[in-house]
Amino acid sequence: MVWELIKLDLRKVLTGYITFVLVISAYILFRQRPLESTDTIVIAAGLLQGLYLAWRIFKDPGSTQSFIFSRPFSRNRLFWNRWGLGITLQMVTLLIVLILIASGARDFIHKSNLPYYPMVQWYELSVLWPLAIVSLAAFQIQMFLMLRARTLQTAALPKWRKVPTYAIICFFAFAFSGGFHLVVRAVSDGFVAPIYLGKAALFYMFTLTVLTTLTSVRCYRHIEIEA
Amino acid sequence: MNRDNPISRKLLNVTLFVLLSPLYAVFLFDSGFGVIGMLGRLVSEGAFAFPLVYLLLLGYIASVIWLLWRGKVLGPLVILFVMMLLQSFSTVSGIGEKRYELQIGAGQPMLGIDVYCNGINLGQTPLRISEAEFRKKVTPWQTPPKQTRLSIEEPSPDDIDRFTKAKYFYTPQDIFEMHKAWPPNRHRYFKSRNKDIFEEMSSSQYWWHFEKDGCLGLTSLSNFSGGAGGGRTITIDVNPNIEFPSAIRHLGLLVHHLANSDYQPSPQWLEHFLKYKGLLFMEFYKQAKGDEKLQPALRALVRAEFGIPEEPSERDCTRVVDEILDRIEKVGCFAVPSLESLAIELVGQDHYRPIVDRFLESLRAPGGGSSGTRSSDIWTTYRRSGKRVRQLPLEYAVRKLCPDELYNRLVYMSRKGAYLDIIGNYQREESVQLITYHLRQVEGQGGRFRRSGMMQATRLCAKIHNPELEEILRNFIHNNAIGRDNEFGVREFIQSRINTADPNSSDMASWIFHWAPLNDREKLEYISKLNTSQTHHYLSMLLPRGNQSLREDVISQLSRKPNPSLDQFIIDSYKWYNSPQGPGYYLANLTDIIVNTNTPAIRRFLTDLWNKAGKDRKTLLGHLQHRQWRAPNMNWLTPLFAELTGKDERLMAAKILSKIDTDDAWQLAEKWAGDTDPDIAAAARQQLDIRRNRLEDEQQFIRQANDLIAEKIKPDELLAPQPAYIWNGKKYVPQTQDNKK
Repeated sequence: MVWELIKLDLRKVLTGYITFVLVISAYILFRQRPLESTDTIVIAAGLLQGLYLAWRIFKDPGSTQSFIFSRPFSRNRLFWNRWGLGITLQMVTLLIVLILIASGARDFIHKSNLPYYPMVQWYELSVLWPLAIVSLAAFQIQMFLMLRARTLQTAALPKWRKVPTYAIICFFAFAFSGGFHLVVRAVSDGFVAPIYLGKAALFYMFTLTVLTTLTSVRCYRHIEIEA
Repeated sequence: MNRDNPISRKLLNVTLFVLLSPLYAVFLFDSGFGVIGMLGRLVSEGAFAFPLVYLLLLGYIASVIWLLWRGKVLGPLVILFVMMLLQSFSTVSGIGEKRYELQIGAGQPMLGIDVYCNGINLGQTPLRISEAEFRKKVTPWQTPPKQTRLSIEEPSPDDIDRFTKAKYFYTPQDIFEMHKAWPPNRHRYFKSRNKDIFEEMSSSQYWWHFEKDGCLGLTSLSNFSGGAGGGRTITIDVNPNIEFPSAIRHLGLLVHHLANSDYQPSPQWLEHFLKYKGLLFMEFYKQAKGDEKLQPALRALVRAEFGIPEEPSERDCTRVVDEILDRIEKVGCFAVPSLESLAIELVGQDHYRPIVDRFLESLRAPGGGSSGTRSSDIWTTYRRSGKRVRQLPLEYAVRKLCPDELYNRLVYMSRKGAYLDIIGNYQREESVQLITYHLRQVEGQGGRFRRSGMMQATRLCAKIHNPELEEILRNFIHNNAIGRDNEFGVREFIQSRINTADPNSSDMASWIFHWAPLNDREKLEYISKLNTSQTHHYLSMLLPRGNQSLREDVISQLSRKPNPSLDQFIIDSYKWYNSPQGPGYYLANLTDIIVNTNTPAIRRFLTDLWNKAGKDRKTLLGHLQHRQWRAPNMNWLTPLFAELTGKDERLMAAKILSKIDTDDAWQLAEKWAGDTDPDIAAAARQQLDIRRNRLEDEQQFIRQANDLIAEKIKPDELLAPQPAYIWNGKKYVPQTQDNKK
């Protein structure tokens, strides 16, 4: 691990990340209905978290880029440090949500006005799966698209060419929702165990994660840096 | 991109493709949006759609190639746009023929009935057949067929119950034609008199008949048309009233045989019953419900059907549960009561773990699809499409058994209103809170969802039987279930309470009287079904003086099902109809009720009437003589008969002795057979002849029962012979030697 690099990336991402964690924690604690795997807010939050983390970690504004890439460690190491940081932060979010639910905090807050507690306490953990899946998928896709754009140098394109590029990125978001369509259909309503994920959806998620990660490493190796 | 950059474009494009693969999969397979579904719909639109089909396919393939070769995502964008256009085109377009599908018997508890049309076996109920397939298989008949069995009874002029008075072996109906003509040709299909129906028969080309296990079914024209759904494919759901005339006598023989063997069914008896279980089960269940002695036979039937030992192991239970689920999946519906519903309850009492496991597994079945319920006072049939039908027996068993292991899970699943009916049956404080919370939410609901929410909540209340919740449910019904929308739900709620009411508790009668959101006629209907000490009190308060219509409703109801707690009402009614100002025409019905309501008050009343002698006694004797009844409980009349001295009265009494049918009555008949008065002696001998005939019938009954069980005769051979009916060009007439040619 390269601590200097991690500290640099953390500085970029921490403010937004902490804000996000606070918001999602507040939502998890004060949501007025039992939490479920199809909670739209949680899905949207996972999506935003993945997109935000990838965008902040892998984007090097201005001169930072040449500075970082000129450090005495390999590009592979640079990539894996950043990727690892993104994954770790997502896991921290999951851990916080897990602790909030498992500690019985929701039970304490809502038992006087919602008759579902404490019976539903452990079933509410099902909210972790969409959060994890959506966040990971969004992170991987955003990372891949950013690195692809940097490799193909689409950022240097004239403005009239950029507009279709943004449209395409929006389209990817839609494509992702198509993938998510499968995942949501595969997740049985209100269950914790991952065995209820459809095999096709699991295979897709696995392939997507492996392929986008490996392709992104290759992109990172071949990004052209201007001094 | 710099040409010197060694990153592989192909790798980038493949990754992009993998990224987009769900989108392509959705484009291809989604039922509403996908290429395959859309192609199917477009092909049905006609030949003009073919260029579009090719365009669509080419576009789809081109976009994949473009993406893989050049890494361009414009292709999927274009194809998405085109598909959206085509989807809206295929939805909005009114071009193309509607497809009709016929579904027969899907909502009936008796399944597996062979359906014939014009002599062609179309399959067994629940039957589903498209019009195209039907027309291909069935050739129209030009003349009405010979009816091997027919039951025609002309309805009275004010009879509004159409078509029920005639039952045919071959029933005329072109169901497709009826539904294709819109508005329907009422002149042709909504006849109320047999004469008018006959006029239409000569032009009928499709004749249906039904058989089950080799027994013929008779059908009236009622319910031989069904509701049809909208959309491009129209499903005509038909549930004809099929009656198997031999079934009643068949069951009577079997029950008689069972009674002769001390209600212990032999293996042959069980085997025979199970062979005809579809025909016999429901009626036998009804009898067993009212007769404790038949309960062991019912349990033995369930055990024999599923091979359940007296002390089943958990493995046995798992096997039985799996067998039940497979059967239910095969037929697509679950009936209560049925051998399956009784079996799952029976094995669940010994080992409920397999039910819990299968219940959890069944929750993984994909949602969506259709579902439905049909019910009568006795049975309910539940339907669900696809694999979800397997949930039905499990939900039934869980509702009955309330296993603790499932409670938390059910509570979690109830957050969207599901399974509240099951949770409500758990006698736990949490259930009370949950149901109260749900009902409060429905009460507070406004806007367009309030109406449907209220209807659902009313029906939910009917399904919950929990003493801790009863007051809350009743208050909810009283405060909210008002208006026509909730009428059905309220009736369902009250009927469910009456079915399970404590016979000694007047609590329900009190609630119906004071709080049920019903009109007086409905309150009377339900209160008079309750056998409690307060029933008569509430009934008399609801019956305003001079309103004979309400009184006669109650009398009609009591003649179908007597209620001992209303003996005073029966006595008062008898007095009123027998009085000079009383209309008198209900006295015959009241006599039936008196015979069947054997209470001390009724006996006292009859004895008083008897002691008055004169006209009252004669009227009573006249009614007792002319009505059809057989009640040994009326044996207390025999000593009174023996004391009679007047000839007319003795003559009338002599004709009643066979109805009393006890040793005392027969001894009196034997004594009177030697009477010096020839008329009385003749009447008494006639009674003794009846006894002899009965004994012969009894012997024949035993012989027939033995022959049936030994498979020497078939159930339909029990039917009294009847001449066949043939069409004479205008109507059906009995076949004779003259018109046989």
